[in-house]
Amino acid sequence: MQMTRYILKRLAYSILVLLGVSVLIFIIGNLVPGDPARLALGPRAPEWAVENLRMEMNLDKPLVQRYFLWLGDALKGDFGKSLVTRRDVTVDIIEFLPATLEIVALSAIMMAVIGISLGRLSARYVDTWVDGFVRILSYLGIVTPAFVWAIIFILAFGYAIPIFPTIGRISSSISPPNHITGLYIIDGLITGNFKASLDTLWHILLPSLALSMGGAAQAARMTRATMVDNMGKDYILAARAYGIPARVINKHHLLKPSLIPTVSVMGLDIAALIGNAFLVELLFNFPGLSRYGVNAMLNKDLSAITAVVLIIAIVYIVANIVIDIVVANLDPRIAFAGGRSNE
Amino acid sequence: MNKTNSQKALRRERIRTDIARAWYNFSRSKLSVVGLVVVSIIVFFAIFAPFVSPYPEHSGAYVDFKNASNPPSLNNWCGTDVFGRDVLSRVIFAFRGALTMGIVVLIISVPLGTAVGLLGGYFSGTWIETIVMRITDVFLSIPPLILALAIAAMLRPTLMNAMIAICVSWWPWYARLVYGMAASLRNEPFIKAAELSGASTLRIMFFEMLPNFKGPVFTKMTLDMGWVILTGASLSFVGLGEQPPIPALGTMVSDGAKYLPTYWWISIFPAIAIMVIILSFNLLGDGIREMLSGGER
Repeated sequence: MQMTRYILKRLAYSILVLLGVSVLIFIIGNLVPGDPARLALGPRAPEWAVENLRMEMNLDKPLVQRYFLWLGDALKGDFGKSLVTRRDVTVDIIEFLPATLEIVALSAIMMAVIGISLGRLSARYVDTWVDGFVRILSYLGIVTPAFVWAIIFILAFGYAIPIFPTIGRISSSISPPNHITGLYIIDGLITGNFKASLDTLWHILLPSLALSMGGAAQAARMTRATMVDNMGKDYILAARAYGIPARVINKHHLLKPSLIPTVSVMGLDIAALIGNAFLVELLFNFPGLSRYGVNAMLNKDLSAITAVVLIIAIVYIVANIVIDIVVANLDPRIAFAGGRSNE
Repeated sequence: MNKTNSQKALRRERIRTDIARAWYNFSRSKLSVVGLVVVSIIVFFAIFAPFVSPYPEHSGAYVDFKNASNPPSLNNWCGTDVFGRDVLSRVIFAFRGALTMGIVVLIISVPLGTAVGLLGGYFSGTWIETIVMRITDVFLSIPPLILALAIAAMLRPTLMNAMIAICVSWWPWYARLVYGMAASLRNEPFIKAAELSGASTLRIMFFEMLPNFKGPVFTKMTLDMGWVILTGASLSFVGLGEQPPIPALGTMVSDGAKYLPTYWWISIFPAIAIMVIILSFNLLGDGIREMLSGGER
């Protein structure tokens, strides 16, 4: 009950924030110096064509009215036409978003699994060489940008020991699965095209790993620090005095509360992950939303840029809601107090 | 006369011991000292780039196809790029833009964020806090790199505009940091006392509250130098930062990546340079944290 109310409150607040985000994105979309209609048609287009487009883009109306027209269209799923692909931006997004979602989801999972396991390992063997090794590894992980990891992985596993593909989303010899969700892995599983699922997984493994390294290192460091901190707490001593086996203590008494800071910080790591996807997709020549977004940005494709940023903000906000719910499950005090306290 | 002299001596002595203690706390971790040394070297190279780089003329639109794409050798320690320019020289010149970026972005966004945070914290519980902090939340709801990219995309791609774009996505983090601390100070007796004695709002915000946040803000600034430089490199990586032929670390990595794996040195060395910058500012920041917290964890 407490939890449901907390989640509802969290959702309501997110919708408010999203509204604010839409204002911010609209303002950014209007930062462009000069005339967007002229920009769209190029310098040699006749004046009447520019004038027509200006009417079509509602550029003759006042700013506030334009915002509401834009928001109304966006809510209906209409983001206008892309200058680069000459298609509806919505069509482009439906095509490219699933690929990026697959990468981002896989790397978020890898980040949590690798990070927490390494942190546990480090805490279990605290002050031994294992601990030292993991700590150096996580420091290196934090200071190495995702695109550098990507280059290292491309060189190491694409060329030196060529076991992974370094380009694209699926091999050209394998036909993509029938379109249901757009997520090749899931679609392949549903339609029984396991070969396509496996091949896609094989393709996105390296980019996802490159994206997850920084967050995993952060998580490992965080988990280790909190676990080592909690080891000396009285309640662990009490549990031990009750004769609860060390294995159970480690898993149920020590790990769960120690994950709270780790998971809380993952919100930020996911922001970095989504941002870095813009660079990593370029390096892997991966047909995702980020590469589409970069092309839009380089060509000042206003409708596409605003749509991509809005979609990414939504993905990020949803990810943060999920994280908050997980944290609230780990730490019942949060739902009870009605929200995460400001650290 | 005699008395003031001894007072002066006493003060000098105190400053000397303060510095000695700060250095003791800072240098207890040898890694912090390494960070300081490396940062100093980078700053030195950036300032004296025309004198320390082996081929200063390669920092511009220089072309020498005879020596294009040479692997690392005694003449070109980090090899040459596809135009025959010395990679090491270009990396050293790129330090200039990178450090300028870090310093300018922090000089603009830290005071801005701090002021917003102070405002929110001082007026905590009122509508001013609600407005100010909800606006901050909106900025924090877009991943910072994406926000910076989107803004940079709207402006002409220059170093200046890249810095503006990063500033817009950077201040909210300081607003949130300072807000949290300011809100918790709001009901402390010394703030109440200042209020009762008739101190103005601005005075309380900037002279009573602000000095308490020096440590955390300054530490975050040092750590952030590396991250701002990385964000700048990410912008130039996709082509929304400093434009060629001016060398930028991100551009060098992404241009060089097209020639992987054959000409690996073109992208690897700028990439290593970015890592070294982030690592050394991180180590330096850890040392400064130790120093400002007086060595207590």
